[in-house]
Amino acid sequence: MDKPGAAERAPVRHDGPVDDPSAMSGLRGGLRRDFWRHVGFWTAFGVLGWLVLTCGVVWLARDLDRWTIAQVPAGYWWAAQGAIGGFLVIIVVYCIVMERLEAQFLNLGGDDEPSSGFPSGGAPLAEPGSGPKHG
Amino acid sequence: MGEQPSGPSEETRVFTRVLSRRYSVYTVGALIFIAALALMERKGWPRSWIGGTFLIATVVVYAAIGLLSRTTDEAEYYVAGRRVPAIFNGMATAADWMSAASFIGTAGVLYLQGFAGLAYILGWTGGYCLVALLLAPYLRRMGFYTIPEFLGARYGGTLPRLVGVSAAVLVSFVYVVVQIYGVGLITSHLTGFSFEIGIFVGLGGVLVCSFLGGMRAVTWTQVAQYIVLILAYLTPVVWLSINQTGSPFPLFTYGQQLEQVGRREQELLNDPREQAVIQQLRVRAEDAQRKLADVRQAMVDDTETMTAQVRALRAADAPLARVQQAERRLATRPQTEADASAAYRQERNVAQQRAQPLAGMPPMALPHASGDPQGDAAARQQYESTQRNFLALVFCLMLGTAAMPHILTRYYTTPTVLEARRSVAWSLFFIALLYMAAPALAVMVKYEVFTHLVGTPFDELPGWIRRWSKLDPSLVSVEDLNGDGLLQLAELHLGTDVIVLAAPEIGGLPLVVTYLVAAGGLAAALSTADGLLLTISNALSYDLYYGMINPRAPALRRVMLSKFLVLVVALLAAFLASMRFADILQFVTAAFSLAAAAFFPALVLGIFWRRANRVGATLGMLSGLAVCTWYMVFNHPTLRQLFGVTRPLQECRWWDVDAAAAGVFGVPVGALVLVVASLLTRAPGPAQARAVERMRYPSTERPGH
Repeated sequence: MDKPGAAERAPVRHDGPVDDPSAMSGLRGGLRRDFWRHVGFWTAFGVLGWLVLTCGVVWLARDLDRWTIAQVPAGYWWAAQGAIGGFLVIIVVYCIVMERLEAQFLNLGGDDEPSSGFPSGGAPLAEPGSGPKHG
Repeated sequence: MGEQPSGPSEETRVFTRVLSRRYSVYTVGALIFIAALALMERKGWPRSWIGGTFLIATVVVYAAIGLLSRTTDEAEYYVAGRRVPAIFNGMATAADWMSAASFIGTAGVLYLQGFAGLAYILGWTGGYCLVALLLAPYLRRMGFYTIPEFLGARYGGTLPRLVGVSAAVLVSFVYVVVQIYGVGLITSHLTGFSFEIGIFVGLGGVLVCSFLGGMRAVTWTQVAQYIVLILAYLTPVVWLSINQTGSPFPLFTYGQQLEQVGRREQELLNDPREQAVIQQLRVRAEDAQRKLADVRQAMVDDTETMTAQVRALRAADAPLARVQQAERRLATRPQTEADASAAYRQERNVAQQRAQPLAGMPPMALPHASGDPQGDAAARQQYESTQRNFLALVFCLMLGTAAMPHILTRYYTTPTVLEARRSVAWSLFFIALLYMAAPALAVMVKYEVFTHLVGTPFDELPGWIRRWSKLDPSLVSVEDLNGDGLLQLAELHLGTDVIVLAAPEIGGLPLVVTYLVAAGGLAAALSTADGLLLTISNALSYDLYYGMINPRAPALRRVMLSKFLVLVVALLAAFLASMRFADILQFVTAAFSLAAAAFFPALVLGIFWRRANRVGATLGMLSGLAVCTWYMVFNHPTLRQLFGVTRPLQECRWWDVDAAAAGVFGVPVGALVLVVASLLTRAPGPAQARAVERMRYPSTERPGH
């Protein structure tokens, strides 16, 4: 299923005049803020799903036992197999959403910072441009 | 996806293809090897040969991969050149992750504790959500070599990095000792060597990999080890399932077995012979209690009784074996009062434990079985406490997963951020293959024991019982307590660590499967030990020596120092493991608690909260660790004794949470201290602000960094 909102609400809608540098810098602040807000939203959403799944499995185990799944009492099945599947689904969906989000961010030129090639190892941090400091 | 930067690069795709081909060949080779040994078993090879061949062949293969991947290049040594494709990093992480405890312990805990054991299954998988969502992509974007280095860059200064180094070393060291214990246990089972020799033989295998090639060698051996361990785990599960239910998909059919186990539990609970044995065990517990009242007199009495027994057996011309057994008992009786008192206490506790219905095992499928939400006040309270402890343990393991330095480091090795995120999904997939099978295995072993083994005459007991009880009586022991010549459930003691290792024999599978399982356990222990040793030595050589003591040390010397430290740490861990601490899972849980308390708040808040600063992070990590350690020392029975804690247990316990799950207190305290201390001190400087910028926003990624 297409995750609603991921593509639509992502900063793709800000189609400003990309080749105009002055407009760009104004947009970029918004773009970066927007991007991070989306990341925050989806991350919080995923963490919430993780929390609900974990607590639900533990707290409701006895109540779920009224049903059975594949002949296993449902409380046991959710803790033994179902939850793992749930965790995997959360990660996979999050991967898909984030990949789209990041691709859009890069397509809009959100990364035109001089520090894009990272030094590895203990080298000092590269001098970035005058990127905005607030997200 | 067109020209978008997502999706693996051409280089990665080619490399993935090459690797897939190589590991397919390897897998086929492994299968042929197993089939050949099965054939040799038919031809009548003795068991020690088969066991020895498995041990030598697997260790030689791992060593060969290690040798082929040897390197002194820094990026290769620390992060495998950052070109491990997502799927292979997933396999390597799974092997790195699944330790001896996971492989040989999890199904055992499920067998012994029923639903309560599922806390490990949940905790050890759910943590990957946190890794994927909160950590892996950001760590990879920073592109460092170690976790303390990340802390150093994000918070600035040496102190956070130093605390990070200490915590990483502490956590990993506790964990590595447990792995090496597992290596010793399995090697001695495979070959019949003594436990101590087993440790050092297995250690050779570990050292060849991490010593020569660092992360590069460890990565490629871990993938190979994953293949062995998953084959080894799934073979008996599928085979048992075919034998018991006729279906090769245990996940869909173990429900039947679970139902039958439940029915058998009811029968056994009402069985008069079981109750007779339980009565005997109660008498024994009371006896031991009486002896504890006057230890000195009891020692004298015991000596007399044992001497009389030896004499009586000799007089009655009893079989030599029984006479020798009685003599051995007499010769090895405790000599000092302290020893005797400890032995009596142990005897009392064991007898009390085993005098519980179903040999102390709760009903298999009932959640939080020790209480009852509909029962009286005590039962309700017990239920709530069990539930709370379950949840605490789950959270502790999850947060610990997301803070284990040796796991997080693995996500530095992918070519891109995107691959790092995907590889978390692969990791969980490969881990789930084993963890989803573990409950099925536990249920099938229990079915086998409950329906076939219980009620067997003592002189017809299967060979594995004798062999294991000779190897270690704390793992398997049987005793005809009510003297009816038949084995009752309460007369059989199975330890946690033996369930998986003995599962093929319990289910009557060929010998070669037994040794395959042992080889899988060895792979699990070795792969985790590799990753941990590397983390420790890198933290010491790269972060401590190069980062703080001698920043001008040349790369080659750093790598050499790291190699040397691997050796030292491995020997130290082997020495500690040879002292044989009991109950492997407890220490693992302790390591998770410590990791969670030390790293989780500092890492996550460092990424998601700009305002987190050096003072906050340092104090947060230290206070988290302190709270965690304090709670363990004051609540864990062994540690209480060790440190001479006299304060009553009730006063030290918070919400009745078990000592092992101390991380659930350490993490919130650490986070709170981090926040408050950060807010009270100056905001982080421009360099740290830039670090946050850099880790948050994607850039056109260049593989190879």
